[in-house]
Amino acid sequence: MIIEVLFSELGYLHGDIGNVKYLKACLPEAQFIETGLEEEPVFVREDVDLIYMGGLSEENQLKVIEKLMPYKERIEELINQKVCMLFTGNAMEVLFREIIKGEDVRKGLNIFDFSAVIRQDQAFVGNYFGQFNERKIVGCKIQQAMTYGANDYCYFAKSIRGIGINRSTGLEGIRKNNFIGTYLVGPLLIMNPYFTQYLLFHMGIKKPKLAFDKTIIEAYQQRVMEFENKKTSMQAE
Amino acid sequence: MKNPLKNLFGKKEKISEQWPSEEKVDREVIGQWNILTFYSMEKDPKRSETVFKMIAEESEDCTVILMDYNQREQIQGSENVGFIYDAEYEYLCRSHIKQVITVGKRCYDYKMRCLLAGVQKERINTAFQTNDAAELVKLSDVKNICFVMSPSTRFEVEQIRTKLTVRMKKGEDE
Repeated sequence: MIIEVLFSELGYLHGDIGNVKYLKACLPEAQFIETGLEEEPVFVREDVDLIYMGGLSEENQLKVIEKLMPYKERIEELINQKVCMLFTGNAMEVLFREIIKGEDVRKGLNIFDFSAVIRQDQAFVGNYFGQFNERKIVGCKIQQAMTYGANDYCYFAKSIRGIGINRSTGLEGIRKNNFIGTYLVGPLLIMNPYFTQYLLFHMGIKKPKLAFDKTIIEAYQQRVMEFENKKTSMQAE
Repeated sequence: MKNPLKNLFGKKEKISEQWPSEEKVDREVIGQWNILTFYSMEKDPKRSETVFKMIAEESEDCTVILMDYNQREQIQGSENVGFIYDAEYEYLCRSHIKQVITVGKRCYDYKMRCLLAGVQKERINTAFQTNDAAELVKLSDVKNICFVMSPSTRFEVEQIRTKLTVRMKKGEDE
């Protein structure tokens, strides 16, 4: 099993690297390839079982767009072949049509017909509570951009509490086949054991085994209980 | 003791003014034990890591009580503790660190972080209720008790210290 971790040397934001640490604990036999910005991604020439990318600074997003642009068709091909991909934080924005900041329009790979609009006064910092395949998803957001486009038929999770890709929708993220992009930040896979099992299953593991399963489920249940409590504030001050 | 949280809610900036801008440790000797209080900061992985490094460099056997979370969010919200994955918890694997106690509503998240860092599960205790932390300290196994504190957990740390001091003075676990 090969897991390709893209451009982690750029410094994933907000604890997203926790996802890689947890996958390594769950899959001790798997080969983890950490591809740097100066290297050709492994997925270009080889089959991989998961491509992961975490949240990046705006400056690094542009470097990644430039790097991945020549491989746009290959990425589309892999999505259509149902290869698992998980892009967290703002990483999915590199696959959008554009990222807009004021007068500045930065062209993305245009694999997904969405526009991310960065406005500091619109940024959302808080929690997210939603539903994915009959299971509760819990997470945190530090969302600098609001994204516009129709994800009604290709969303990742449906909100119970908290905002989706922008403040006027409860539909969070983008999902196409086994590509999942989400604005949730931090150790999403650690916070959501059932989602992690889902992902591992779709990566080809028939009976996924979670590392530290007892503790991870305790942490998950505690957070679900907090989010179900209406008194719990979902937006940070 | 006055509850500093009252000040925190009312005059937040005043508290942060008083907080040291760099990592700092207070040392207190009670009987045969040392209580070390490290001034860390919530959501500041760099500072947490520096504190862990300082603890790793201590030579005596110790218990670490992790409380560098945001107490205010423990009460009103549900804290994003993703930042703990940006800090090297591997420092807590050192052999002289006999016990790690994770405290508060996020105790299971902190436990997960420690487990992923390689801390042996037998060495980790969770205290969901802050008040339980003092009872969990294995005084007979250690010489140092290291609190890792944030500005908003000072009051809770003080409560645990008070209970622990009573235990120490009784000579419990000697």
